[in-house]
Amino acid sequence: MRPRFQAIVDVSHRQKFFTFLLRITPGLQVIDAQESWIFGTNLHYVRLEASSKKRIKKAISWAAAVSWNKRYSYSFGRDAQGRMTITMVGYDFVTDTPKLVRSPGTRIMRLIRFFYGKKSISRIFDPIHADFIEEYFEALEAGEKSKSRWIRVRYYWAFLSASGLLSFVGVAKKVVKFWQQVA
Amino acid sequence: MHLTNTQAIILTLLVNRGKSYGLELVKNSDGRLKRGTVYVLLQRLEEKGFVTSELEAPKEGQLGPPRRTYEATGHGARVLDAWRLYREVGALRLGGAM
Repeated sequence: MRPRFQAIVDVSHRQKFFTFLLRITPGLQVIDAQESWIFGTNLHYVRLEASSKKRIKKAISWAAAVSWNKRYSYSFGRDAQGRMTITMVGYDFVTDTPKLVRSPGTRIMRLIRFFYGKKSISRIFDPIHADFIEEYFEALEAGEKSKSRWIRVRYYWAFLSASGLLSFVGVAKKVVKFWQQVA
Repeated sequence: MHLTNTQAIILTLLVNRGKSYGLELVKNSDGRLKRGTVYVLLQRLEEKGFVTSELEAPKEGQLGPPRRTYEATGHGARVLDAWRLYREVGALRLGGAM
């Protein structure tokens, strides 16, 4: 079956090694390599084909992990010809521009806002989020990376147990109200 | 008025230490309070009128949402005293029966 997705991957960071890794990654086909000169920097790209976008993402994650370039992110876009582009951003890649990092708990808060009312959010989940951010950045400032990871896990569990307990309290209240009406 | 053991721990901490926010209560409880449940319990206590809360004005350079501080009400302190007395009498009765 002919692969349907094309991607252009920026491999300027560790060009040869990364291209080699992408070439040997199963499920990917390297079509050609390109080079361009932008703002005094020589950028190297590799054009890839794969059967799905997911496969491309997975392959790049794998290749980045193997090349010990774990501090990376990638963004999807489209070039002038309408082809999908993927830009790899490593910490020591091209410029020293700091990467924008989402504060911890943003995504889970977005999910919680969808399910719970304003009162529960302001009284329960916002304070948990505030504690999360405080403890997380305290650990990061102290240079304790492993502790910050543990804090992340602990607070995701805290969000989960708070929502569980809140649901339980809600159901219990309804049962008591129903019982009082019946009795 | 019904008070659970965990709610009593929160009320005791608030009566002894004054205004506090959730994380302070968790840190001062020696592991008896959990980060996930403390705010749900505080909300229950507030609904019962045992504690009051207010939003702190955000400090300069503070990350995340503003903090909510909690304080025990006079009613909450009296309920805690009654709860302690009830527990002591219960323990005495149990001791006498044994």
